[in-house]
Amino acid sequence: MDDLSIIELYFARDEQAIKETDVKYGKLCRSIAYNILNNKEDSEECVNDTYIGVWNAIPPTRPKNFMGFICKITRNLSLKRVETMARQKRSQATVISLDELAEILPDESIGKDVSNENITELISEFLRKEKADVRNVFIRKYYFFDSVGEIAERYGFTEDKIKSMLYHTRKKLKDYLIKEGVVI
Amino acid sequence: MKTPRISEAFGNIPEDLISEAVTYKGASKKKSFIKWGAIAACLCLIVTGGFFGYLFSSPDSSPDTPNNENNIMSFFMITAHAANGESTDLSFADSCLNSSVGGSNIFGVDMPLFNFSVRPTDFEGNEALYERFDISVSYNGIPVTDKIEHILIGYDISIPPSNEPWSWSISGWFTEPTDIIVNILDKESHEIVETITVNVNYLADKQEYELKVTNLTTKFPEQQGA
Repeated sequence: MDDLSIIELYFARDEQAIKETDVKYGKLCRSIAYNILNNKEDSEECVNDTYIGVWNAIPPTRPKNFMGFICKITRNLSLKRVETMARQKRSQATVISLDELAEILPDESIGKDVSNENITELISEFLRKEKADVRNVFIRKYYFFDSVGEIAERYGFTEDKIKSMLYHTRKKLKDYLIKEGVVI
Repeated sequence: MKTPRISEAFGNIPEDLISEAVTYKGASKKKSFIKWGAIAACLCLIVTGGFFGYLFSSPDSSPDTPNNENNIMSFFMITAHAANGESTDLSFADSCLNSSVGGSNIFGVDMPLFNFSVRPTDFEGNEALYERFDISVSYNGIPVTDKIEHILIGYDISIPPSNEPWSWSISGWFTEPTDIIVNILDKESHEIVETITVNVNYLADKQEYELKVTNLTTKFPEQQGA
C-alpha cells in the first residue's frame, strides 16, 4: 500500500493503518531500534511505541515523507530508551557513535543562545552541500547507527574507506559548526 | 546516560534526508571501476584516473604543504582494465574466492598492503595460463605505503566471464606530484610483463587530481585458447 493510503487510514482512525505500517516499514523500524538497543525485546517494544506515536501524531500531522517521519520517531524513542538503560545493557556501538557525535560538538561548548533547532538547521545545511555518498554514509552511521561493515556493504565501499569518510566528515562538520558560531 | 544535544539535533534533520539514506544505492556501485574490467593478456590497457568520492579540504588547508595531507581528502583512483575481454573463465583461487569487496556481487581482495600476489584460475581451479598479479607501488624506487588508501583487485560475478572479469585499481592521495609504478609479473617466469607508470598530480586550485600515464610497457604473451 502506498504511503498516502496508509496516512488516510490513520486519518480515518482505522487500525489497519498500523498493520499496513508494520508490513511496509516494520523491518526498517526494527533495524533502527535494534542498531541502537542491540536487544530484540527492547527493540520490539520500541517499534510498538513507534506505532502508538504515529497513531497519536496522525492526525493532525500529515507527514510529507512518511518513511522519514516513522524513522525519526523510532530513532528518538530508541535513544530515549538507551538513556534509561543500565550501563552494562547499553550497546557499545551506540555509545561509541554517540561519543563520536559529542566530540563534534560537546554540550558544554554550545553557545547559550544556540537552540537544538539551530543545530539541526546547520547540520542539514552542511549535509545538503556534501556529495551524496558522503552525506548518506554519515546519516547511516549517526542517524541509523549502522555499523561500518553494514555501510560498506550497502554502498559498495571498503570499510577503510567508510572510516576515512566518517572521520573527515566529522572533522569538517566540526569546523563548519565553529565557523557558524555554534561553539562558545 | 544523556544523549548529546548534537545527536538530538541530528535526529530532527529533514525527513527527505532520512529517506534518501534508506533508498540511496551508492554512487560507487554505478562507477566503472566497480564494473571490474579485464586486465588479462591484452595489449591495450586503459587507465582511468579519477576523483574518488569527495572533497574534504578545509579553507585553511594548503594542498601544497607536505605536512598537511590530512586536510586533503580528494582521493585519486587508478583503474586499469582491458580493452576487450579475451580473458575468459577467470576467477580467484584460494582465500580470495569468497572475499567480498566493494559490494555484494564482487569477489576480490582488498589489500591494505602495497605489494601482493594472487593467482587467477579458471572455474575448475586450474591456474590461468598467464600472469600473476604482483603489483607494487613505488616512488623513485622506494615502496610507497602510507599514501595509498587501498589496492583492489576484483572480479565482478554480475558480468559474464566472457566480458570483463578482471581489473585492478589503486586509490590514495598525494600532495606532491608522484609517479606510481605498477609492475605485473608473469606467473611462471616472474618477469615483469607489464609496467605502467602513472603520474599523480594534485591540482590544489581545482581540488582534484590529474592522472597521466607516463609509461606503459606490455609484454603479455598471446593467450592460448582463451
